Amino acid sequence: MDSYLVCYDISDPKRLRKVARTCEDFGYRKQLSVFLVRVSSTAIVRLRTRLYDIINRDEDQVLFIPLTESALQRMEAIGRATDAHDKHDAAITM
Amino acid sequence: MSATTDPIPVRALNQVTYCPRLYYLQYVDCVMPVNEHVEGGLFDHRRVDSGDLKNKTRTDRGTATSRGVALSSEVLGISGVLDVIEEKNGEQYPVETKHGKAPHDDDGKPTVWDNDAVQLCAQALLMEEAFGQPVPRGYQFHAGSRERVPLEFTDALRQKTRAAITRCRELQVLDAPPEPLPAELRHRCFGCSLASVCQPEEILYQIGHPNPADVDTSSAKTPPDVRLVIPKSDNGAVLYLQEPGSSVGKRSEHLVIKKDGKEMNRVPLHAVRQVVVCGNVQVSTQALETMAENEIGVSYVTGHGRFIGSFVPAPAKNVSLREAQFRKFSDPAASLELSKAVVRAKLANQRTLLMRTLRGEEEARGSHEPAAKGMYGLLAGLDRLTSVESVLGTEGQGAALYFGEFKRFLKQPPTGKGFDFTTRNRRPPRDPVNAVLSFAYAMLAKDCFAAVCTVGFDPYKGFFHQGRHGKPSFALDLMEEFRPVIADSVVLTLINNELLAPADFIIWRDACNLTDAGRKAFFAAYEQRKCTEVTHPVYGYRMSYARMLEVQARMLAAFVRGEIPTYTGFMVR
Ligand code: SF4
Repeated sequence: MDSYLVCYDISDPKRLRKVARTCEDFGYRKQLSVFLVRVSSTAIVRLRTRLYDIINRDEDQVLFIPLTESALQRMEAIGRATDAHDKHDAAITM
Repeated sequence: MSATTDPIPVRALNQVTYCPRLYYLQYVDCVMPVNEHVEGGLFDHRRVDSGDLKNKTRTDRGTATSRGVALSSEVLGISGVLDVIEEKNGEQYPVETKHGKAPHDDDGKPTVWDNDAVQLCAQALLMEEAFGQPVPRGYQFHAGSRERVPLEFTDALRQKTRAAITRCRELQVLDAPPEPLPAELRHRCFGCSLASVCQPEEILYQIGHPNPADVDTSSAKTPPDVRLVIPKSDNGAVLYLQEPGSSVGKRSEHLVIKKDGKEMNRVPLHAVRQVVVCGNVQVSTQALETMAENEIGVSYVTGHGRFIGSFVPAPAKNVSLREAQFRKFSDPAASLELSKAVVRAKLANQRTLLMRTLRGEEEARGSHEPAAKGMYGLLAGLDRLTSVESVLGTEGQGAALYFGEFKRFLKQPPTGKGFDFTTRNRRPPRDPVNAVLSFAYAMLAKDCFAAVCTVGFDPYKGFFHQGRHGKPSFALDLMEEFRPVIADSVVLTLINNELLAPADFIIWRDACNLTDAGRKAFFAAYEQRKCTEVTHPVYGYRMSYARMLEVQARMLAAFVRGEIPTYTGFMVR
């Protein structure tokens, strides 16, 4: 399983909605345009492919920041509370 | 339609040249996991596959390009969709795009892999028949290195291509896949999308070592030189839906969980590999459909953990395996051998757990425990047994010895505060320890059910738990060797590390059950346990317990089909 921080900057509201919705299929929303994606290497290719098809390659940008396990463990937030990030690893109970 | 007259896709000719076993698994057994090599391929093919370009011809500086042209030939018995056909100066030629970089020959010139060459040549044969015009050469475009490499369709290559077609036809009528690739070609397995299904190293190892592991698990064994080809852990989380009264819907490909009209949470489906619906939770049809499409299995269990059933995404279409399963499990000798193998592993694992847990009390190793000695005796006698019934008897005696000491496995807090355990009881369990044991076995049964279904077995036809009406006997057979190491171990962790307290149970009319909070603690510990990596005693490399379930199920499949001479149960070292 690989972890990425996926952030985007989209200049058109319609594309923005599509990008957000696609990211929600793969990861957990951390901030308005920041997602934590923890998926297989196959799924990350799938996500990249889908976003590539949505964005305007001249105006928009999506960043994929690979996270090592130790970087992930050291992630911290100040201000509003955030979900523990390693909680979703093995079991998610709702 | 009989298999032998269906046209063979040109892609399959690529596979059969790469590895005949790969072709068999993919096109005869019809299993198709996708790994990142294949996904990457999709990314590069985008321009060709996008529908609006299909079958349109464009002309640019004297070169006419047609994309996505479907051709088929009855004479050759093959068909395919050609990425690109170009025409220049009256000459037509196929152009195929491949993910990855071009290989280089001894002079450093880019070339084409032999399997890709066969695929391209098959396309040329199709074109020659369809257009009645010779096709002397084609091009392979390597997206990774952006190199366009010409390829001559020589007589030798044409012959090789026809031989690949014949080979496919031969393989189609076999009952079991051909052997994995020999050692000198093994490097191909590392890029193979089916390595986790094929288990090449393990199969070859078993073929070369027909004797079952000896009884004495404490003796030092040198691990064999089995290289790790398959991934060692599973990807994604297991999602447990248990909030009473909640409803689960889908939006795009994520789940939205609501209760009393309020959104509670969202879960991305691509981060999930399995879903367990526990108790009173409504899952919408649309959500189920999406899960099936994404190959996420859904299991339903009651609030007490009783397994109700599962919704398996398009079960493996593996009819020949099922036929072999029914044949093999109806054969008393084979059933006896398999029963001994799983009971041997179960007893050995129970004994190991017992010795490890009780080691602290007496200074010596736990092997001096009378129960451990008794179990050793049972293990030693196992080989002499001649019927499945007597194996069942031995298993029962082992369980009695083991559960007779189980009370001592539990940390003993001041009286009245902790958990009491006197005997194993079930249906219904009457005390907390039995309740959590029953729950753990139910969860493990659910996972074994999923594992045997993934491989393509019928979960109801077993070899050991025969004829128990309505029980998924085969899933329970596979489960035996894992009961102590997964289920019992989770129970001990939960109780001894005080992750469960007496308040996490409710007792009602003699039946004891976990509360919602108790179940939540259980699920977390259980999945954690399944992520734990252990060394496979035969193959000597590490993998997660979750993965181990599937590996053992696949080895059973190889045994059932006669690919390997014996099955060896999983035993902790
Ligand atoms: S893992 Fe190796 S032997 Fe198995 S199908 Fe793939 S290439 Fe063939």
